[in-house]
Amino acid sequence: MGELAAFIILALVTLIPAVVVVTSKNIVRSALSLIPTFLGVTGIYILLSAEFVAGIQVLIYAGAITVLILFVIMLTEGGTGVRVRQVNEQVPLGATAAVWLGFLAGHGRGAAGVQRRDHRDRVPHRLRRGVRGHQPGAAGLADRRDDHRETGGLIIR
Amino acid sequence: MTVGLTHYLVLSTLLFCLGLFGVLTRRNVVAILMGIELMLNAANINLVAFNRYIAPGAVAGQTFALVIITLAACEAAVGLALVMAAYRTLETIHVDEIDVMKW
Repeated sequence: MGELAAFIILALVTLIPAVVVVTSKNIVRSALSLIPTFLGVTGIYILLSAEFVAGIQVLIYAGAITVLILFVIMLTEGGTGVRVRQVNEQVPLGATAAVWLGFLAGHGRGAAGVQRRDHRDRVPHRLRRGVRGHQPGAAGLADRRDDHRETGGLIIR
Repeated sequence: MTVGLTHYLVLSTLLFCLGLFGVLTRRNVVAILMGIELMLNAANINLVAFNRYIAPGAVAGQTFALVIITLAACEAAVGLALVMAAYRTLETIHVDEIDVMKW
């Protein structure tokens, strides 16, 4: 239960500043919002017991890349860029692409899944069951595949 | 209810979609690079989560994540240097105004 609460808090710490990063009109604000996003991802790594990756993430992303981005903003834009239009004409197209990608990943019905189903249909029945009939280990393999399926729709079936 | 692989994959998908939205809709080159960083972070979450839940004894996923972090740092340095060079010659960093190679 505590792990789930920590995950939810870290996911919110990651996702809410990420929304600010992609939607803010002030380019400095969106660069500074990268920092909590990276720190939230660091917490996710610690939850996944990958502490070394978490340390490298803090050093490189939250330290180096953010400072580099801030330097380039200050050297080029000459300000925060709030008076300039920050988005192009592709906002509906970009939103559609992002939502479509999320839908596709959530359902796991990508091109790979379609190809695999076609391939399975094309294999003759006698080859699918094996030449000798029942083979040891085949049941275990099927069980493992079912386990992969149960992990969610995100894995391409 | 415990945290499973699906939770991390959902988080990673949402982060990737946000980064894709940023890449497709922003005019500023620096903002596009920020979107790319978000997408690389989403891929890293995927790799580390699969390492933790599918192959807990191996460290291959974490190694891949470290390689991607290094590549992201190099890409940010080179990309931002290109932005500086483009700003010096063209006086703008908006991608729809940089059209000198268009017919």
